[in-house]
Amino acid sequence: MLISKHILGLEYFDSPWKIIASDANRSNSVTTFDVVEIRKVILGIFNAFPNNSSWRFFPAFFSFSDPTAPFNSPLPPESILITNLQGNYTGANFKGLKTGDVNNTANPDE
Amino acid sequence: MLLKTSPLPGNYGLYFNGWTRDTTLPAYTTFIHHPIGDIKKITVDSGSAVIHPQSINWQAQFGISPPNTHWKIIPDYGIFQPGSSGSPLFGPGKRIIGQLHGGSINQGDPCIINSAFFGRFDHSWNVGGDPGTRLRDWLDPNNLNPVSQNGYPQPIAATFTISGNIQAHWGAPMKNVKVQITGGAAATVYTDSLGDYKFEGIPGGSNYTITPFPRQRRPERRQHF
Repeated sequence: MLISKHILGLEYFDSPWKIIASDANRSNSVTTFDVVEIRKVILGIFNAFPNNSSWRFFPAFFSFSDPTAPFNSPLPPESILITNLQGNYTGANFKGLKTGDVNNTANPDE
Repeated sequence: MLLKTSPLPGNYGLYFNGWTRDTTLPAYTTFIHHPIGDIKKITVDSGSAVIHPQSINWQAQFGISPPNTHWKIIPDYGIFQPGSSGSPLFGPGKRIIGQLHGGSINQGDPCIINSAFFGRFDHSWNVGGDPGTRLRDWLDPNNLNPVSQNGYPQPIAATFTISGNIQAHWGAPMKNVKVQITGGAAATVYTDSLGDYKFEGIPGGSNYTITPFPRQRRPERRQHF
């Protein structure tokens, strides 16, 4: 429902992470095809998203140039590269998002 | 000569050979090489190397080397073969004094070396007129004009800790997330109940990639009624 409202422009997501989470088929866009895929997973027609993982992790320090349109720029790699390590590195933080979860109700422990 | 453009992994256990520009005739010499890509071999000449007083015609595109630019040795133990070229020649001080360019192998018995010619390190030090043709710009960047440099083992790399945290994007900590490090070291850890993880004892001087992995979804058993 929330994804459909976003697609129709009735109520846009308030976070770029939710927009990415909506992109179930990893097409770098949010469309009704994503809604269909999410429904198929919920209904058990798909065991998993065909072209996506259940969770995705992005560097927490990533800053979106346009938070309302995260796909307008390339998404960051889903890893952190540390070059020429010369001391303790304490900031390798990630944000996880659950594919299809746009109301933050996914259980992070599952 | 190779210029390394990125740090060498600290756990390689390398040894950096020393070198000398001393032109005292070495009482004996040794060279270490990989003939035809074979495992490492050591060849020894128990006699003194000499400075070859004549020019050397390498044929074809390799041209002619002027007189007095090469060490000449005749090995007593071991030989050289294609693929050995470039191998370092060590004097009694265990420092590099030259690099193998070629030589003459007995046509009737390839296990007999008539002569082996090594480009003189001291000649390469300052040959030509620019950094592209001489060693001194690279091995003596501070222009201290050293005659020799002792070899040394790769310094033991300091180790460090890489740590981080994984949260759902709305701030909930994520526990039991598999996190892998690759690059100069490889390991896997899992986040704790606060979403924290850390890799300890990671050698410095290398590049690393940290990657979390989503939990594997167990195949669901479909029920049909």
